[in-house]
Amino acid sequence: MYRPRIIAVVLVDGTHAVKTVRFKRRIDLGDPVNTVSLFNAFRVDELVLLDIDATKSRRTIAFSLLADIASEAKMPFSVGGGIRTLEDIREVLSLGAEKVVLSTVAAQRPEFVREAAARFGSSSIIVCMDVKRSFFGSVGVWLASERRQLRRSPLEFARLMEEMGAGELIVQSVDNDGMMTGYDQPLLSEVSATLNIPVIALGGAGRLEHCLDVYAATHVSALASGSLFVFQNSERGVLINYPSREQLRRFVNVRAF
Amino acid sequence: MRRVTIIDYGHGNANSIKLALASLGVTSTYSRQIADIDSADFLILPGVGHHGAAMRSLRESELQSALTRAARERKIPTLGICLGMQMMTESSEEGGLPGLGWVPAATERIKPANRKVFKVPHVGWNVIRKDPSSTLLEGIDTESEPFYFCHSFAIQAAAGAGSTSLFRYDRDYVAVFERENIMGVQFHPEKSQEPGARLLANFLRLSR
Repeated sequence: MYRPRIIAVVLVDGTHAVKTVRFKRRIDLGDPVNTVSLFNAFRVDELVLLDIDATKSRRTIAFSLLADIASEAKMPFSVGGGIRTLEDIREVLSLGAEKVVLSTVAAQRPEFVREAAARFGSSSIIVCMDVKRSFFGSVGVWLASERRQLRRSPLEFARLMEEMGAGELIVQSVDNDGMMTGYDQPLLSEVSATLNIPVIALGGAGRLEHCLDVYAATHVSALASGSLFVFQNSERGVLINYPSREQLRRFVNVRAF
Repeated sequence: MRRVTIIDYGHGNANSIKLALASLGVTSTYSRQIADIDSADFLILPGVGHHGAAMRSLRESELQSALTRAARERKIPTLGICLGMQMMTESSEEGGLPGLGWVPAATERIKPANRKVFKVPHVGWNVIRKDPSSTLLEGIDTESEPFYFCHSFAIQAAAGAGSTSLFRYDRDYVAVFERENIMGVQFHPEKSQEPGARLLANFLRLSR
């Protein structure tokens, strides 16, 4: 690969773009369409749009908002949030998204991932796996919408998703979410070394060096972040930003392997 | 006036293509009506999805004969994008159904020797080694301006007279083939920023 993708993640709570900290505290970023428009200007590699309230509110991401974003987005983008049926996926893809992100449904019914991949092709299906460390330090797959941990370990769940036909896996650290102190490198290292599908790192990036470090030391295929591209620093002053072409060139030929 | 028809067979991301063309000032029709295929000056076969499922849909929609008539008899410029390109080949390992067979080539699963380093699907921005005789890539410095790829299946070689440009992902695969009026691109020009827009503009400059 020429260089890894650097992906901007935009969270939406139905109508507003937001950013979270550890899946709890929310900071309002305003109009999501405007956020996307700004990312266009920065020539973002790829965008992931997640409606974090969709499952809880028993809906998918609002299609009217999605249509507006699709009209705006010049970059490849993926959409997630409350997607539960093949019809949901068909609708989202037909509006212009390249891929869908499945989270809750993949954990509740892994077979659905197989059905979706068979109908739409693996390369259209991304699964997002949220990982949380317990008080005692053990790592588990976190199902946010049901506020519970799955029985399968992250590695077992990741392998299962690959077996079901998921095209890519986002490995998101709940603990590092919004903290801007770095990714969960051990977790990313283990999962990306095991899987044959691309792994997208998410959760914790606060500086471009965090992305470079994880890319150089693991087998991840892409580095994603919400905070890094929507805040100017750890004070969390809102400023949409993205690495320049020179900065992106730092990712070329970085790996020893 | 150029009539551009994007084929609706239920498996494309036509909206993105429509918008990309609109940015170039070109209005296109996304349609499954035979009349829109028969009257088109340019045809685009989009593709996001599963080859077997898509070929089945194409057959069931009765568009296949109108499509073949336009591309093979009227010989209007026809562009296949990603899965659309793969459907133009003779066969695909994804689903096992025959393709349209317009180009002597086969679509196969990407099977890298080193699966840890080369993940599948091939997703992301990659560079192309441009064939100097390519019309679609004219004016694009493909070595420094990558295109966006997102696929698990690819074409290793395409026979027949015409231009072929390759990309490398562990091994070489076809990025672009041009066989008279029939063209295919493995990447998504509609999502590949300036090089993509340039390619679509080059396509629209072609005449019968």
